[in-house]
Amino acid sequence: MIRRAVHTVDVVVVGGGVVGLATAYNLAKRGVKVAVVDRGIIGGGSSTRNASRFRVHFGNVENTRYAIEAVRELDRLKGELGWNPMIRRGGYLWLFRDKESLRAFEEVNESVWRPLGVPVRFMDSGKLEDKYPYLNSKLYVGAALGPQDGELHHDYVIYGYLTKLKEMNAILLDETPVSKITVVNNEVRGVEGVGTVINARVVVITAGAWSGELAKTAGVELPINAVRKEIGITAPIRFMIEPSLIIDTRVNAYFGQTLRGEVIGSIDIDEEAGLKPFNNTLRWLKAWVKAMGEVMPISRRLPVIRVWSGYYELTPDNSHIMGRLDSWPRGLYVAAGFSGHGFMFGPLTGRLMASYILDGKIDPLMEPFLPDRLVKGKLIREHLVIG
Amino acid sequence: MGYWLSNGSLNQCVGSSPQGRGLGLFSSFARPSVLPRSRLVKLAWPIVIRFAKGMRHVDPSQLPEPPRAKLVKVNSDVLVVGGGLAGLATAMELSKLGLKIALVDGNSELGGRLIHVEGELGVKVSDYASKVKDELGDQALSGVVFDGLLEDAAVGHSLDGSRLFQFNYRVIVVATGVREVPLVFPGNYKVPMYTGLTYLKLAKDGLVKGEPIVYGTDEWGVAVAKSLVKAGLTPLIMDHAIQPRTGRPSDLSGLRAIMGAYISETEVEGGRFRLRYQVPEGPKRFSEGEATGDALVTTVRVPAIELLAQLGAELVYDIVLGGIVPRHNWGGGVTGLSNVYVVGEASGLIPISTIPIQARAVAYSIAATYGLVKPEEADQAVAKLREALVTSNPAALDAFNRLERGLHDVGYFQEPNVPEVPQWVSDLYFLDKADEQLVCFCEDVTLGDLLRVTREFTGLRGVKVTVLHDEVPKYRELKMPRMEYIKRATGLGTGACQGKLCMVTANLMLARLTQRKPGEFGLFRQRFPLNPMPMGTLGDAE
Repeated sequence: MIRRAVHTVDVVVVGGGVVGLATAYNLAKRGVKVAVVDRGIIGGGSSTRNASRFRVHFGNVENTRYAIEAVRELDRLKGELGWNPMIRRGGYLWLFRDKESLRAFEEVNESVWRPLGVPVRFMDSGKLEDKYPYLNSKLYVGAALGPQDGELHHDYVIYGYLTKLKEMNAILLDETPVSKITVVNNEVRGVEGVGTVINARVVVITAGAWSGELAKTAGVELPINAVRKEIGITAPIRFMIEPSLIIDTRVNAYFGQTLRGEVIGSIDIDEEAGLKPFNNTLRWLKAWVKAMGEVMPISRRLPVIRVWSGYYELTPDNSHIMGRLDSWPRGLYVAAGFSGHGFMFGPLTGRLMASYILDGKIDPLMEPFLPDRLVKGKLIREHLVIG
Repeated sequence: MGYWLSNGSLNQCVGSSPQGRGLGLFSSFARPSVLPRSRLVKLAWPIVIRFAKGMRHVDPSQLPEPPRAKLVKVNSDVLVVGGGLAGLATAMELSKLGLKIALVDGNSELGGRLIHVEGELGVKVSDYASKVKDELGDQALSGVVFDGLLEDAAVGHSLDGSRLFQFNYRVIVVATGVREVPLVFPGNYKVPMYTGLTYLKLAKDGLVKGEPIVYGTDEWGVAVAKSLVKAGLTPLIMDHAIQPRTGRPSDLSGLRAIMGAYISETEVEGGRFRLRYQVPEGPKRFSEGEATGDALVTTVRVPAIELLAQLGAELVYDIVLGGIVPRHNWGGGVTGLSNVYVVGEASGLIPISTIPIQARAVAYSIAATYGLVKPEEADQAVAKLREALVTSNPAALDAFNRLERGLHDVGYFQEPNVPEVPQWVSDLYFLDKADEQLVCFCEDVTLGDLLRVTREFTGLRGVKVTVLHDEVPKYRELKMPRMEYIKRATGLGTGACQGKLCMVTANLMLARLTQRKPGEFGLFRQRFPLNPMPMGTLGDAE
């Protein structure tokens, strides 16, 4: 006989990544009884598989504005959660192999970043050589450093939320895949999973790459595609890579060094979409190490000790979806489709979602990302997707 | 020392232990269970960050430049991973049956661990090695480590980094044997600790002499001690079992031995160290003693299961077989996966004399799937193995039978508790010194860190060893944190060894201390590559 645990809560959050936990945390703080369900371990999806970097520099006003506030929220977390998010602002260093891409970047700087108060600093290859002698600077015509960007410890952010939620007696169910969202009379009644039923009048989908599948069980189509991305890390070396992340914009490869000394990085290899298993491929690995050897010749000597993979959850315009549509069953909300920059947006998204769910308040930052933009065709095209 | 200040390497080859607690105050803040949550660290973060930046790690210019690497493709019917007795015997049997075999071994010479104690154990591994070399020719690859599986390739590389291997095979035989693991006791970071194999090699080359303390009294431990005596050293053999684990008290004759001893304290004086130990003599009664030595040699072994874990074999705990081992299914895929077989001590610590017989059983099972032998012949070979186990170690046969998948698909398998103190730890006698017991040597994670994190994730106030009646149901309801959480929260197993030396230890210690089954903690994923691989080697090979 299969035993079923039945829980009754006000809000059930499906997906225990940073977005889900932040949403649940902000709801619980206001006295709402929440449950968080995850198919694997809490924070075990893209929230732990990412490169743990954050940036404010995006290709359009909406995302950049959102990111600036998101980074402020990350900073605030330091005092709020028990765990130190270990933020370091090393900056993102963007490298350009040709004049055109450099010029395009300069244009975005003038039209988007400078007006918003987060300009980047440009340098020529000579300056690049001086400041970052370990880079193969003759490959590049120039570079841009965004000093506002940086890195954090993603697992500690997750565990901060986790321990806080535990203290507030929220229900946290890991290793409980949700098979369907129960909808009666166009109104959500909760979720069902293996051996578990959770009754709730509000269901928030924050299931990252799995959000599309999940929304389907409630009769809602979400245009979110999972694309597997691989990533690798080397053995620790003496700290030398000052920028938090270095990006070669031509081959779309990136790398940085963790505070513990490991070099972490990846490259885009045009993987086709789909929820592929969390494996790695030799095709990617070779492409990555080759690019590393080109960009930073000394990396030939670095031993790779671990590779893994995770998903980017891509929307048609590479910008996330948050909120709900009136045509959806009552009580159903979504915050997903972060297209590779979800971790840094997570804490802010959680806060905005909570006040949206409880007060119906649409924050101006959040407005452009409501799902109706996909219906109305008001897409926020984001071309600065790294890796 | 604390994970963030760790230099990330216990160099077992030169026997250097992590430097003392020179950083004093810092070290207690750098603990993985303290640093992320310390208010002080948080306040001082802008300053702390300057210290935290990759402290003490090697400069990349000091790493060797890998040579221009070539890509070598190796095709075979069966790939045997591991060139010890089990791997060699299986390769020979399979090759005799007409299959195309490739064999890889990370050591520069074939023969594995046993080749270094040939005089002691009655098996001539060197004969197997030379026969396999003749038989397989350049398909017998020594000095090549198997790095594991990617989605589109099975990859290995030569130790000098000059060749990258890509293996094509239909069946893979895992003969990865055992791994000697560091001992866990109060002050274990202070002493120079070696594995039995390393120390034997050093002793044979005359690089070490004196009085080592050899910990572990099973077949292998005794053989190591006796070989050291032959090399002119005067080892002291030690274990917390009362009887030698070989089951024959006479095995210890002629050796200095201290049995039943739990190490409680460590002191270092000059080049030597002193271990204080306690021998339990009744409820809450101990006799105390001390032993001195100039090197601590661990011969405590656990099956090396990381490749099996990566291949997706089901792994469970079995006390007789020495830790976490694959489930069995004789005759079919031994691990329950259709093309993965396991042989030798990777399947559990069985008597060495039965390994060649096990190798034949596995080889015939594989050959039967190719139609090279009749199914009856394979059954016979399996029956021979059962017989050999019954006469040499019936407990091991029982264990294998328990682990047969679902007991012939009808039964039910209940994972056992961890009833005994794992051989390599001092365990709950010295919980007050949990912070002095290093579990993960790469990242300096102590037993105290593991317990604090477990406590935090379960909401337990203290680790309860005795559970009172009313509390049982409540305690049972608590879900233990998976090792995946523990890994991320403490950094255990994220260093150079990727958990090879600490994952099983940590799992079994936690299971025992919280009175849970090891499966409730589980293992963390074993990721590619199983051995560190220079980027140059990977990038060059076309």
